[in-house]
Amino acid sequence: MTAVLEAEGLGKRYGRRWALSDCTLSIPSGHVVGLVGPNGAGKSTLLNMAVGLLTPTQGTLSVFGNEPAKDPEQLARVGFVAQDTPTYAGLSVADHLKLGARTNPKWDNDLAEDRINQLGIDFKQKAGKLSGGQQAQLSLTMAISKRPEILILDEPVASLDPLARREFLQILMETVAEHDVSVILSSHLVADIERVCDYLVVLVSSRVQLTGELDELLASHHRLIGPRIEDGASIENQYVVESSHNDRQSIVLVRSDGPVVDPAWTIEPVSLEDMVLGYMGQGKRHGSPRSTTSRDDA
Amino acid sequence: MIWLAWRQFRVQAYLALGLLGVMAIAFAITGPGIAHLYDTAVATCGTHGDCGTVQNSFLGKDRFLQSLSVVVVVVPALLGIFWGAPLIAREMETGTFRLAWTQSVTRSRWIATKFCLVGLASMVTAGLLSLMVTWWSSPFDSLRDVPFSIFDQRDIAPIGYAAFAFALGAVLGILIRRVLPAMAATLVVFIAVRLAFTNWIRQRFATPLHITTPFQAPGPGFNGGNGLPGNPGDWVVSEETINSSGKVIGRYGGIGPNGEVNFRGNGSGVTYFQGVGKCPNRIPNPPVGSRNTSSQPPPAVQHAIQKCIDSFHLRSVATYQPTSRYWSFQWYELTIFLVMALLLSALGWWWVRRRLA
Amino acid sequence: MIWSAWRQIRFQTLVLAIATALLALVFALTGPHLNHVYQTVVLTCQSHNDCLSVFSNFQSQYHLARLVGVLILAVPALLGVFWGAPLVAREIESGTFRLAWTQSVSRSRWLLTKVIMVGLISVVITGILSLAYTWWSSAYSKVFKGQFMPLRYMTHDLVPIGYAAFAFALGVTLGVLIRRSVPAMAATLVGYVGGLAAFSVWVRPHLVNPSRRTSSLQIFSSGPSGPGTNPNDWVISQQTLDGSGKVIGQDGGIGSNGNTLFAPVGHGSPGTFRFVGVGTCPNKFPLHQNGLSRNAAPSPTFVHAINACVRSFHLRDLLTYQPANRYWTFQWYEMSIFIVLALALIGFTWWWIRRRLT
Repeated sequence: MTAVLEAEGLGKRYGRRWALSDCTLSIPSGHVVGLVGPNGAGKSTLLNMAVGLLTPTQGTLSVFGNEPAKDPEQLARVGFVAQDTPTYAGLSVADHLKLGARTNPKWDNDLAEDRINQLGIDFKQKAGKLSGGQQAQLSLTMAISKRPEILILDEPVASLDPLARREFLQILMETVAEHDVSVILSSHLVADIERVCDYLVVLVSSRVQLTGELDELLASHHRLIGPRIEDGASIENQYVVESSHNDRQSIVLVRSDGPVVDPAWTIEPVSLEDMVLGYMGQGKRHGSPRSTTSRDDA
Repeated sequence: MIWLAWRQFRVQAYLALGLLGVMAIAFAITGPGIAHLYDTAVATCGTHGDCGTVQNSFLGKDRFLQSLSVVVVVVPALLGIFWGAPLIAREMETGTFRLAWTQSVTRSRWIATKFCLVGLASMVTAGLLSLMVTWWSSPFDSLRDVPFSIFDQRDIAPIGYAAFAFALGAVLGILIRRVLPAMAATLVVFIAVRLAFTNWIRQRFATPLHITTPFQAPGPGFNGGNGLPGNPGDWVVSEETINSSGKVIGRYGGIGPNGEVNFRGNGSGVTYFQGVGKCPNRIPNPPVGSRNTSSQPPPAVQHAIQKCIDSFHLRSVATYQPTSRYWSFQWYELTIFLVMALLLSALGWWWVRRRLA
Repeated sequence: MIWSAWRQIRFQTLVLAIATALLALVFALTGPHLNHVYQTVVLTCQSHNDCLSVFSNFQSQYHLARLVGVLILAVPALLGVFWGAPLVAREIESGTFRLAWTQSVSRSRWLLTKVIMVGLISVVITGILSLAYTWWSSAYSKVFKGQFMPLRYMTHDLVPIGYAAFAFALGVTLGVLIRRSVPAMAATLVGYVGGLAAFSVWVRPHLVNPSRRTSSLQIFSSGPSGPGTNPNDWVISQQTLDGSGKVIGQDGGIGSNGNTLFAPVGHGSPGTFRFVGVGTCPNKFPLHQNGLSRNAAPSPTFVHAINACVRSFHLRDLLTYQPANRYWTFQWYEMSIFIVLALALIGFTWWWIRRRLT
């Protein structure tokens, strides 16, 4: 499976602060990738670097095996929707489509116009007067109509109401189905990830905590409930992600390297949200994780 | 890409065209009449003997339109502030660069297109404006004959100013990334550069010429210039009085730091020339209450004083740029400002490509 | 509220204050010297018979004065454009008005606080600059007359204060109406320049009813003459009237372009001077005495003879002017008018924000 995005020791520093550090990733193509993590984790930084809006301070990053934004061909393969979905307030919707048509050789104008019509947006309306949801849809339409091989979306639904959010993700999924496009979508709302993604990257405190196919991850992580154990004690065959204790009980989130030996534990499946929250907690506590990738050759 | 650059610039272009159009109409309506009047009344005033009143009257015509000539000085700065500074800074401030740079057009092409379009538009605007004003004002200019005083409001120099101001604004916008501070910074730097040129640099484009004449004491025929070069349109850069060892001891036909030529009219006694020497002097007192600023001593006394002054071997040196150099200076200034604009543009281009990430 | 308004303009005020202080320092350092030169050298130039070179020198030392004068005229414009226009427009543009107008302060109070604070600073800075500049160039003003000339009148004493208030208020109003900073700035610039130009051309000459003085016409004299002419007077117009009061010329000439059409001796039969629409005078003077070559002055006997004939036409020279002693009246009137304009604009903006800007 070809990698759509590969990062090796990638880092970005602003002054003394590292927005992203020691990021090593290999994202396969043909997936809808969810990039999840708390605010300030470095998601925007990573995505902006992937489209060439930022340059790395350290390490390497390649998209389709090439340096991001290297030349017009490279730019044509990547569609991007930035955070806050910026549009030209003084230009109308029709102008934006024309912008897309004039600056993208592979522009599909019929597709764009269909989408805008479906959304019920007035072509003559100035983008500055559109609602937040409509602006986001316009940005997405522009990115899609460019017929890229990958769509990169930086928190596109963060400021949308639930209905607008659902519509946006719906259109996104339709597009993926119709046009065979890879997607990398960042969000701090796990529910959105769950809805659309099949590959997960967890980014906390500017480091990658976890990556892998969603199904496999969920299958290999469990919630163990059992009698109270020492905080920090290890469990055979399990990698402890996070544990919480009260007087009599311990609830532990583990990644299973093998079967659970101790019968005292009750094993439950874990929801995506709990799993991600667990890794977020670990990330905040420890900084760098001990082991980040799932094993897809199990 | 050209379409996008034009679409973003459209409104400003129309505004500029509109203003130019209004001015063109005003000039077109009045211009031929003025030129005609000049040819029939002013140029022939010598044969009619009424030069004094005719010239005065002519210079007072259409004063408002005459004052529009100052617009040519102001417009380049305005272009730098309103067209140059927001060019990139606005996109950085509003985040739309994230939309613009992720289409299939490289950053380099994007910035090159915007720079070329708006930069050329600036030059054309300033050029047309200068052309109109130069054409319309030519009768007045012929009459006044001070080409170097209006050097920066005529002919081709404003084109260079506009190009430079635009490039300066755009680059400051790239560096500062916020529109309002970039506008303020552009204004300050542009004014500083223009002042530097007007007061120091321009007069050094070519080695000035000198005319040396023996120093003349104030007297009949004294016109304060101590024998300026023949053409009133020349640009007198400085006028200095130097003594026999070549040291500058005064300016503007005077001696001493304030141009005094210390005559003391007391009927008898001595006149002191500060730092030079003294001469006997028999100039009578001016009549009491006289406000005549050019009371002349009797010619014989004047003659004697002049002979005494001659013994000091003072000379008056006028340093000037002749009118004939006007056009080469225009080309020099245009070229220098264009080169500065190009250098700035290159800096901006490089900065956007390499550093802005 | 006051604190937050101050916080927003803190840095810019600091920069401006430093610039003003520097300029004031330059004035303070060079002013006394210039005054001294004036007292010792310029005032006594007549007795030393070197007025021309002294004036040239003095003027060159004041070369900078003209540039600074332009600055005094530009400062109100700059304050209006960079402070006035974005005052409200910027907040609307960037959406921060949603933060500002939902605090516990009413919109009107918010506007008034910002306007008063920033407006006062603008006016004070301009006032300081204007007064300092006036003081500094006082010697210059005494030597070179013409206190009503626009570049002098509009940059001295009180009038710049009015301009500052007006420019600022205009900027705020246009910012509220247009709601985007950069267009509001451009509009403010145009409005300020246009307003001042219009006022100078149409209103100022009539602020006070001009005085008029009639004298008999002297040709070959340029400019108003006669007893009581003060070089500091403001000559609005100078017209030549014929016996019936009709205007037949201007600026001391006859005919619409100040010409006085002569037919000189030597160009045909014995010469006559033909004054268009008036009459003729005989002329028996040869060319060189007529002073008909372009730059030479006519000889006094010639002028005398011609004027004797001209007098028979009973032409009069009507001077419409504002006497020099009205200078301060004009300054006060003009400053007050512009301040009232400014207040009216602010009032309008206040009403607009309360009622209309939803």
